[in-house]
Amino acid sequence: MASASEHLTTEAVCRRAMKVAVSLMCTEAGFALAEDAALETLIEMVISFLTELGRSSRALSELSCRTEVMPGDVALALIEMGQRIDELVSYAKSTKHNVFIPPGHAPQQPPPRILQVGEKKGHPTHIPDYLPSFPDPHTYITTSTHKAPMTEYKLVREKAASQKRDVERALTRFIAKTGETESLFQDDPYAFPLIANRPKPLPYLESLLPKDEEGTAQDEEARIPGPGERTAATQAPPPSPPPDTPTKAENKSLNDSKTEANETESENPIDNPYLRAITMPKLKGVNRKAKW
Amino acid sequence: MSKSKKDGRLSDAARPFRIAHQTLCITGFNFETESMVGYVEMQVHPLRPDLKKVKFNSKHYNDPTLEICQEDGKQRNLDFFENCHYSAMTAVDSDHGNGELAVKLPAEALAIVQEMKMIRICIEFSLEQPRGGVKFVVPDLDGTMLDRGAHLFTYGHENSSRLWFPCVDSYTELCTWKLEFSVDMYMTAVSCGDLIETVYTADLRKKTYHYYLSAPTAAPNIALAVGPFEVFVDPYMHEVTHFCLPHLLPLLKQTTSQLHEAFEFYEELLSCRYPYTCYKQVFVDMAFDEAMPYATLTLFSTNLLHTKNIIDQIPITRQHMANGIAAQFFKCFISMNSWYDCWLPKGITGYLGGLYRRKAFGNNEYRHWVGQELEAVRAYENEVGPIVLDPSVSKETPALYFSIYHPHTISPRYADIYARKAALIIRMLELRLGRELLLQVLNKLLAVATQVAQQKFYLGTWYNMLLSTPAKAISTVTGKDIQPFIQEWVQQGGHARFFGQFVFNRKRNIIELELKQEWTTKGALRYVGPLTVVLQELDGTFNHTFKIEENKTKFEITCHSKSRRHKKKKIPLCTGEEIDMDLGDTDADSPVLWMRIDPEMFILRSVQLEQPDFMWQYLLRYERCVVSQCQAITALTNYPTPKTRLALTDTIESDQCFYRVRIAAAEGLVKVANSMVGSWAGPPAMMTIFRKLFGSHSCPTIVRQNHFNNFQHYFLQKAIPGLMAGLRTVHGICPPDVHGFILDLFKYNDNSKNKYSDNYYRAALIDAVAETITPAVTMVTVTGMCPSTDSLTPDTSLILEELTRYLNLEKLLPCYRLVITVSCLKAIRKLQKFGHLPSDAAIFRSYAEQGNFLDVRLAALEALVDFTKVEGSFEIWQWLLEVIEEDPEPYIRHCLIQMICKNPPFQRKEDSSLSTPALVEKLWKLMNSGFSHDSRLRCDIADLYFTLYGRTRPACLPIPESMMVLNLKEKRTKFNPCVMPDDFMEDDEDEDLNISVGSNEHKRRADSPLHSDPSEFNMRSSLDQNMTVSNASQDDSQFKFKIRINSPEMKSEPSKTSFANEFARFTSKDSLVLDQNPPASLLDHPLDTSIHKRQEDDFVARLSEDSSVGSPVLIQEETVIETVVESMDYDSQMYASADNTPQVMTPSVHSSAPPTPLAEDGVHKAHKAKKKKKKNKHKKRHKHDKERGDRPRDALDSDSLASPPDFEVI
Repeated sequence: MASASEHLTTEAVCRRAMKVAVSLMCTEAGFALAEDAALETLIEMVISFLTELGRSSRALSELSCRTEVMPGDVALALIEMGQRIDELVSYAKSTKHNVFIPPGHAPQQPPPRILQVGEKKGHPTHIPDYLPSFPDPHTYITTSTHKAPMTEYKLVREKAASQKRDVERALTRFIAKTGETESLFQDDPYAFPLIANRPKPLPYLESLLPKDEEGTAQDEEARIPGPGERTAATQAPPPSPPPDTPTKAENKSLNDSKTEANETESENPIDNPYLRAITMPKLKGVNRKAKW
Repeated sequence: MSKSKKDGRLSDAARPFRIAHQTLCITGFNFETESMVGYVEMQVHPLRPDLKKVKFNSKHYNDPTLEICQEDGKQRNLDFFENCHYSAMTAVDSDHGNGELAVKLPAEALAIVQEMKMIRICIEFSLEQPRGGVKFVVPDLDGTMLDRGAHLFTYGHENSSRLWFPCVDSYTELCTWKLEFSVDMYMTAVSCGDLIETVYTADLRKKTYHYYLSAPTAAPNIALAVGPFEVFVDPYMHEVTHFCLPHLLPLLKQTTSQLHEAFEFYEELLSCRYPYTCYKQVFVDMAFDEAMPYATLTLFSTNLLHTKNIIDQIPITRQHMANGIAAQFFKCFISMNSWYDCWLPKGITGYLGGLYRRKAFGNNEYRHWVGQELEAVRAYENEVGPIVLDPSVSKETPALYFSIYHPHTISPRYADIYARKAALIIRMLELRLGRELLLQVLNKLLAVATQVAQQKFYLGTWYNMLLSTPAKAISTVTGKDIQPFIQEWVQQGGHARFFGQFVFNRKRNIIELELKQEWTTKGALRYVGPLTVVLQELDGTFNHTFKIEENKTKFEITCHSKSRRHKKKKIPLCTGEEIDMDLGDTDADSPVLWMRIDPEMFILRSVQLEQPDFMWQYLLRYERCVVSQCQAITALTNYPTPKTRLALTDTIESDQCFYRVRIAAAEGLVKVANSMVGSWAGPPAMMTIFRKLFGSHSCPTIVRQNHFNNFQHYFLQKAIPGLMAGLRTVHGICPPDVHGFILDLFKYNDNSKNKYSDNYYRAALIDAVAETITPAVTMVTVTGMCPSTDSLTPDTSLILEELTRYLNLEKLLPCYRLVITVSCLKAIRKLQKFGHLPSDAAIFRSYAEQGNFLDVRLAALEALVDFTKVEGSFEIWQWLLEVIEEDPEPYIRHCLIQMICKNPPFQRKEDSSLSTPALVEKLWKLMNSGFSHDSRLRCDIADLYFTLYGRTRPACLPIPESMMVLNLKEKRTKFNPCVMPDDFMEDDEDEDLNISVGSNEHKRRADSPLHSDPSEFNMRSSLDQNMTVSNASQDDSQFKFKIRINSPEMKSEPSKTSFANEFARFTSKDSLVLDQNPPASLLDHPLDTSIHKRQEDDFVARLSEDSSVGSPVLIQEETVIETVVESMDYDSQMYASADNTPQVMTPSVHSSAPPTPLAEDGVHKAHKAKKKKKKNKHKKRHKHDKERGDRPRDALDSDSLASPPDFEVI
């Protein structure tokens, strides 16, 4: 394979040299452009001419009992092939030939460098140096891409304050515009609209369970159960159940409150008369026998 | 004043019987109809063998306050009213042996009385839609009563238990109590005493709470609350239970988390255990007052509850709760002997509350509080007149328009200051005796009372539980005689007023002090006795005590230190600290730095001391007593100099200073700045301080995010903007800098990082911005034209912008107690008043309506009161009067009247379109008869009447006519028996069966409103063995009676007879029924002690036979009694020795179906005819009445079984 490839390459090299020579000749002959096919044809023609020339020269030298080809052999061969050789010398001596200088070797491209962003972090002391170094910081550090935030305290406060105010104003205006309002001016009822005041059935609930504590999330445990949660727990037993049912139901609700009360000391049950179960009326046994 | 008013302490003979034990049983609570049905049973021990009549209190029955001044509607002056009012109240005062309800004992009972044995009287009653005494809070909502949070509670001013159940409504009548309340399953009934058990009623639809109060307690200390309460047992003290309305449990837990500390504090302080075995706190809506203490139970307003992140409410609530506990010791457990001793429980409670304040909030707070109370008392006494704590022996009566001799006739404002003064007097006693000794005295009182309380009932033993003038107790414990003190401060009103000035005499190195007293002004008193003057000199503090004598005004004080200011030396203060002072400002000759007169507030006084401004400045800077510092600030406002400014500024900035002093200094600085407005240099006062303290680090002009961890700073931060807003330029307007500064505070307020709520701070900012408002420059010259949006200045519209934003935001995110709404309303009113906004009451009307939160309503009402005053609007005035008349919340009405008194729409003698005869008529009517159910309101109206018209004839009434009437009536009043009620009460023999109530009775016949009103009154009186006669009158509410008198021998228990029908359904015939007897009777009345095995059926049967026999009732009854007595003897033989431990048992289930509303049978017709038909015959007539009446309750009533058919007694 190797010799074949060498041969091929030799041939390819020759061919390439031929191509240069032919092209040169074409250029000298005044062509500026040649099609590949034409060029190849010319190359083939030149090669066969040269091959014939070489074979004839060799045969002439062997005829003269020599092994080495002499210039005379070549000249004779040319003549035999019908070429004129008188112009050959002057052609060779003319200096007007263009020479296609073969392109010089491009400088060896260095292996493309890995893009490095920022300083690579060195190993911490406990990691031996031979281990691969850290990748570039950007591969593992997230950087936000938005605009640099305002850091000046004054501006921040200013902006927070106006945002808050705008939100509040928009909200209250919206509610005021969509609902009933009271006005402070007779001439322009929309100047400073006030949301109409509505009486509530249990005004103390609303005002004792404030909703305005946005920032006071610490008081999680003080969260107020909604009305729905509660009513289920304290739902009174049905009005006229069989005698045993109310006891159970009541005990259950009592237990509920007991567990709440016992939050602090569950192991020590509280003895409080309000937590005790309701007793059945005295004499009930007789009664029940009589009834049921 | 008639003599009868001054007879002072009353002997027991006034009430010829004692009550050993009382059972109160209320079975039918109906929230739909707002009614309740029950009975009381009293064990009455006669004190006289000739006792014929027993008188009880029951407000709904023949109440003289239904029409106080009778006879004519034309004598309109307060003096006349006052006389009648006092007589009316005395006429039913059980301490005078009187009462609305007189039960004449039947002949059979008289025999028992003769032997001085106990009789038992049972009275059934029912209440429907009571106007006073019981508050049914039934919110207007859909759903069950549970969802609606419907509840009820009892209330009243002083001794007002008579409003809801018949009793001897006096603090002196102590007895043990058995209380039973049957309520729906989801309800809780909280009352006084130990909850023994909760039992299902026989039909299992309800449960009955059985309470037993073993400590002898007076009826006014009994209360009740029923509702779907959430129960929370105190985690630290399991005998303490808290109750609140649904959804508020987390708040309740938070609010009561510190309560055990108060208990521990009091027990330790008094070295005495809490006298009862349990304690209950109930937080109710629409409370009569913030806190109402009763035996083992205190009712609080639900508005006292708070969440964790509220700062301002905590001290208030804690103080109320602590006072409630203190009142357990010295109002409920030990109650007062008579109204004249009222200062003792009030004073001791207030004093103990003060000591708790000192412990919980610090000594400075305590001293500051004392100073403020002193100032309040001084101001009131100056304005109105001296307050005599014990008027029983006072020489001259203060010229007031109300009688101070009865708790139900005094002005509420007077009562308030009275209590505060009493606390100060006890504190003075502490200073005189020493705290240890005073506490020993209190401990002794408690020890004696505790001991006595455990004894069994014996006539007179429990007397020791009543608090009378402690002179004796004090002299036994301490050996000191406090009689002079009592005479000077308790039996005499007023306070001392000193005016002092001094000069330094360099030659003699003395201070010449001139101290004058002024006793000519109102409420002043001529003080004779020791007085302390404290002199701060260079070498230290020196106390000098002088004897103030009659005519001596000059005093000489030798200075201890020479004037040596060249030596740099530290100056010792009275606290022992030594501090460096820059003495550059002082008088070079004088060693005196400053002087204080009576710094410990040893006496009730006001002091005006003149000393140079530098002395005040030194005092302010270096003195440690907060009260003196506040005085110095007040004095310094008269010296507007740069030095003063510096001293005040330093005080505000100093972290060493008590925060209230710093706030006071800020107030002072505003005044000083306004005085020196011309020469003021630099930024507005306090701007720099505020920015330094509260500005953010990088940008002081922007306020820091809120961090309220330092409460001193919090209060300061809250106060300063409001005070700065009071600054004025030479043109009398608020400086634009300040205006912008406050608006910036609004803008940059940021609470996101704060663990406390900033609602009070924001409200303070709104108050501040309102404070900046100055009267508008009116460009409109056309009269009658309102300010419009065009005339708004830019500043005002900025303010309005903030106001509307906050007010609207509050609708969406309401804050705690809606303080911001309150502030906004005030600000809007101010804008209106100053002509920036058109004056318009509509917005306040909507906030003043029912269904708004209490504070909001009060703020809106205050704005309306102001509106009425400024605009003279008749419509609003009428509306306010309507609120006074008809609002369901008594507290609102009370506050509203007081607001009007404070800011009356017109003054005395002033001509006003509002002052019409109709108004006089209306107020008079309210005072005279309209508020019979609430003496606080009645006295409020009297206050209002006095404010508007004074004591004489109102100016708007036509002169000639009323003059004539006046003269005429004047003559006639001399014969008016209402001033001599006692004589009248005596001759009831002539009246025979009719109960006479009050002296006014015979007049009531003439033209009393009782007759003209469509009376709904129903009264039924059942004669059990005996007969009862009664006389009915009417309130709006219905109140029904049935009275039964038993001797114990008859052993007819009310439960068995009155509810016999029900009872028979559930009890078997041979059941053992235990009678509950008062423990004490075991010793003295063997007959009473037995536990009866009850032959109920026989008994009932016999009685029904009797009743069926009909007319010759009396004879039949006698036989019944005999038989019963016999069987009783038999029983007692059997059981007398069997059991002599007090039985605390619930004998039976008193069950009853919900009360069926009683039909209104045309009683009032019969009522009119009452007098004519008396004597025994009337029984039959009544029987007829009853049959005509056709009451649906008959089916339930046991009477048809157990007694002669009941009948209407008229």
